[in-house]
Amino acid sequence: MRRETAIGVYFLVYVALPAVVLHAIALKYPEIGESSIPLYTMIYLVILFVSSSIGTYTRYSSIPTAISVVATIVYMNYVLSRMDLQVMGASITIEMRNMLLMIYALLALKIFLAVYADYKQKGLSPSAHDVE
Amino acid sequence: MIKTAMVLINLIVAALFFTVLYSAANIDVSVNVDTRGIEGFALENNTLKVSVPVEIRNDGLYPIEDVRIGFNITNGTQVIYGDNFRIEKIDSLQDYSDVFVVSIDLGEMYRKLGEYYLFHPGVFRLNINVSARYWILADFNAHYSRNISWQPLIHTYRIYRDEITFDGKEIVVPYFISKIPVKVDARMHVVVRDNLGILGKGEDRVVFDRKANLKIGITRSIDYLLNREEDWRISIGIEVNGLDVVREIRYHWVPPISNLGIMNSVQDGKPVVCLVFRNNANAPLHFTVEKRIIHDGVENYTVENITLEPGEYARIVLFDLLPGHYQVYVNIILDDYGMEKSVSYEVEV
Repeated sequence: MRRETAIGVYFLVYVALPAVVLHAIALKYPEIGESSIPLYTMIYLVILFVSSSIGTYTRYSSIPTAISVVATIVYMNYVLSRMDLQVMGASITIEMRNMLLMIYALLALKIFLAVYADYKQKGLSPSAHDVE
Repeated sequence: MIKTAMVLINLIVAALFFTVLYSAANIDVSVNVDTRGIEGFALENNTLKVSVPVEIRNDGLYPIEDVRIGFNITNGTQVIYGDNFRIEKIDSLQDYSDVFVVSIDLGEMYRKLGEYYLFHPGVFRLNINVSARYWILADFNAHYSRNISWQPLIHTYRIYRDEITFDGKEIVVPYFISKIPVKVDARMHVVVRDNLGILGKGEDRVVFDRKANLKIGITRSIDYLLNREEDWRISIGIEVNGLDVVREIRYHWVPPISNLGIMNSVQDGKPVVCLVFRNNANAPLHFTVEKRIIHDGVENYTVENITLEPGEYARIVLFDLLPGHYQVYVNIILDDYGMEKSVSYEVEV
């Protein structure tokens, strides 16, 4: 896939579509729309978009992966681990710690795979051979 | 291969994230407090009931498990009711609806909160807490609060202290007690005490919404009250819904006669000994006065009937004051009250 096309797809997936979904959610649940969640979510998604775009400029995937994993952990821990909402006169709390633990485990696996892939790639690359 | 695995991880993370968010956003919990009956409460015998229909719609993608619905009712400082209900599981795309009936024993409530809410209106707060587990991924907790206004069972509670009467046999206490329009069984018990102890006791079913009388039978001799002024303590208790509310009032007993005495006087220029007393009551009183006079061993017995107007003095000549030894026994009977008092007098002239 060409780099420009990939960045276009990333933009669509990480920025355009989520913005539309968030707008729809904010319309259905004004309480969510008025909170800081949509703003933080968009900042997080832009970081994902940037890290994915960086990935198209380098052969090593561990740097963009690390950026996206750190952004994901920070975002989920501070924004999604506990949601307090006021909906139709009710105070609603949603705690997603178990889900986050699963996601953190997957992200750890992802970082491990990225580092492993870079290590393998470096080991095979001519420049690495020259250094040795 | 590694790239594929990373893409797969990305997809799993995104799927988890969005499905949980979507599912959490599609749990719809509605709780309504039924406002039938007395401003939110329905009264059945001694039990207050609040019906709370709860509907939980799970339009998400995961089952909701371990749903706990907790109710508690407080008056701001004290919890007067608390209970929990548990629903094991609500599958994905399923609805659950039920009407939970919160039952509060009135007697227990009054015992906890005291008599205040028997006579005064107030506001109770119904707190409903719904907690659930969203598969193993998320915990959901919703808290609802509703105010329920409380109307007291008894609106008016009045004892007509100024209209308490005593006819020598019974003390009559007039009262007026009004209540909310529900069936309430209540009993009233009254104890009257004077300085010597219990004077009388009475108990009866409370007559609501009209002026009524409670009659108290006298439990001991009250003849000494004919001319003795004193304060009574009247304890009036109402037993309603298992709660006994006792109030005490003071009542000042004004005796029917006063200034009772035997004194020397002059009648038609001759010295005489007289019995004197005054009618203290607000109405005419009828007396029978029995006189037994022994003068130097000779007994003379006479009976005299008199009627005294309010405030009027009786002046009854017992004997002419001649030389000799006198023993005088006088019995004053107040016919209207059935009370009598004996007076004795001995003199050597």
